Amino acid sequence: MKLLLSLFAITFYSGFTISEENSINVVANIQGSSIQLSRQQVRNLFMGGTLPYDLTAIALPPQNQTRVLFNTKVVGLTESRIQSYWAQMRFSGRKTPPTELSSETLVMKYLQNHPGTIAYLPGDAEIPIGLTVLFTTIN
Amino acid sequence: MNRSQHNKKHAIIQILKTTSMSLISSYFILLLSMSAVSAETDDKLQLSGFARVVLGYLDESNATYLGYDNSLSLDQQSLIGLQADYQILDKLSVTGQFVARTGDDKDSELEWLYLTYTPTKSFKFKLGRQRTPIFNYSEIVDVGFAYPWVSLPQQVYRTFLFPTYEGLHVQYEYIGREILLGLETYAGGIERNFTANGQVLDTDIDNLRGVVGTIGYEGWNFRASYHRGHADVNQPELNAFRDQLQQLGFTQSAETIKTAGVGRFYQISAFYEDVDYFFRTEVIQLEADLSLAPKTKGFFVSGGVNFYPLSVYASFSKDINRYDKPSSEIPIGLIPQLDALAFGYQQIFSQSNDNNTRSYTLGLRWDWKSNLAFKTEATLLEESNALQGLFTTRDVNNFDGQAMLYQVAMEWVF
Repeated sequence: MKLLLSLFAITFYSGFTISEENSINVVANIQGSSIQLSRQQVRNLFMGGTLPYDLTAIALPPQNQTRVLFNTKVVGLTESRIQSYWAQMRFSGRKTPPTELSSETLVMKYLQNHPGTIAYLPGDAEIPIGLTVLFTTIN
Repeated sequence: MNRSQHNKKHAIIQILKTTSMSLISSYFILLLSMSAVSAETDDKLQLSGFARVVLGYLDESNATYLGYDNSLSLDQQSLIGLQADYQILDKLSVTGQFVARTGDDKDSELEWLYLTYTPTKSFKFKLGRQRTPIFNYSEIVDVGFAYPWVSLPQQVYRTFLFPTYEGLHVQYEYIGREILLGLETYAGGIERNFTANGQVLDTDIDNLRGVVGTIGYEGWNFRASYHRGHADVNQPELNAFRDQLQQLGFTQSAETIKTAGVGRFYQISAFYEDVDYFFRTEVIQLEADLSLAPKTKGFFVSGGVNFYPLSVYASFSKDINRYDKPSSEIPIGLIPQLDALAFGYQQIFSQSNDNNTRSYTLGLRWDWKSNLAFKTEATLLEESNALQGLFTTRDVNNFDGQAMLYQVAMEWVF
């Protein structure tokens, strides 16, 4: 029983040891201006919502590890629920999902070349020149 | 061919390999040709779609439900929908959605055909034929992929009065730091055939309008709405009979036969979901000044647990249906002609028995691919009087008002 408990404790504890490796930075090409977004604003932006700031969300494809982290920590939904949500939004003419690019490297390049775009990146990725962090998950 | 198209085709080939059912195969051949088309289109035109194959079995020989009886059936709820979106100008687009259905009493229709004008990111105007946004899932009842159940809780979703309209829909959205607010309103009308309880009704709906408010906070989403419209159901025999009663001086009786009138819907819902759990409840009330429509109060509660890519859920739904009572103005036992008249009058109300119905559902959804899910569910259906309410037909002498429905579904979006 003790062994079981300590095993449980280890599993539980390890679930909460978050390093930079599994945090998320939300970065944008906003050309020098400084804004901070709340988690809720980031969530809504990537779920097809609008913001007072004119930002266009760029996403990574399903199964991408950074996307899985972003879903869990920021959106708070499983990938399958997110896919159901987009089906509902598309076929009722309400919202369309963000453009998806296949890798983090492509996302960074795209952001650098397109002012007004915003995307999520892994916490340990170096932020390219010209991009600003608008939100970061708390470690 | 990019990676996602390659994956899409790879998925299609796998499915074709693993199934030999001819119906399913023909669906997928159609879908395959669709994805080939979408690969050739440019950015302005987007083709997409959804399909569902639903296998159902009702474990009851004395009744039928949603077209199901005590034999395996694939062709009651299976369907395919195709949507085309074309960006005409920067802020103007046109959308059409066609749905081909398999059920006997279900029409294949152009369900949506509208122009979208988006002057700012917060506002959206849609003009044309649209699904009426009465309840949470009213606009997407055909898109099974978008909800956990195989069949939406019928106590809320079978109400038929205003499924589509032609008119204007305006949508506004505000994102605060912590909350999301949505407000929408629409107005319009439509003349169309609708199917209710296996009966095709030619219905003229006008002056239809509604308002919907939503609040999103963390994993919560609250929705409240009000909808109102005038429905004129073309039932010439009923109208002629009512005129006859009027001429004979039975005005009270004549007034109880209503083929046209105002219908009002009230809806409120609370949905919660996070990575591990989901909870949904929706409460509705319908009041309609029509003989064939009861006053209805209905709700469902549903909760589930996610073990991605699986989720399990349980649902309970109930409704109470109350009809206007017939008048006893026509005297009986005086002369045969009056007896015949009284009998004819009572016959009209023979399908107006007050009833309560309940459904208990347990189900499982498996998201196999990001655009392909399998579902299975078992539902215990109950109607209080075994005469009317939930089932489409029943053998009144032998049916006890209860039956189990088993369904398996494959849901696809592309």
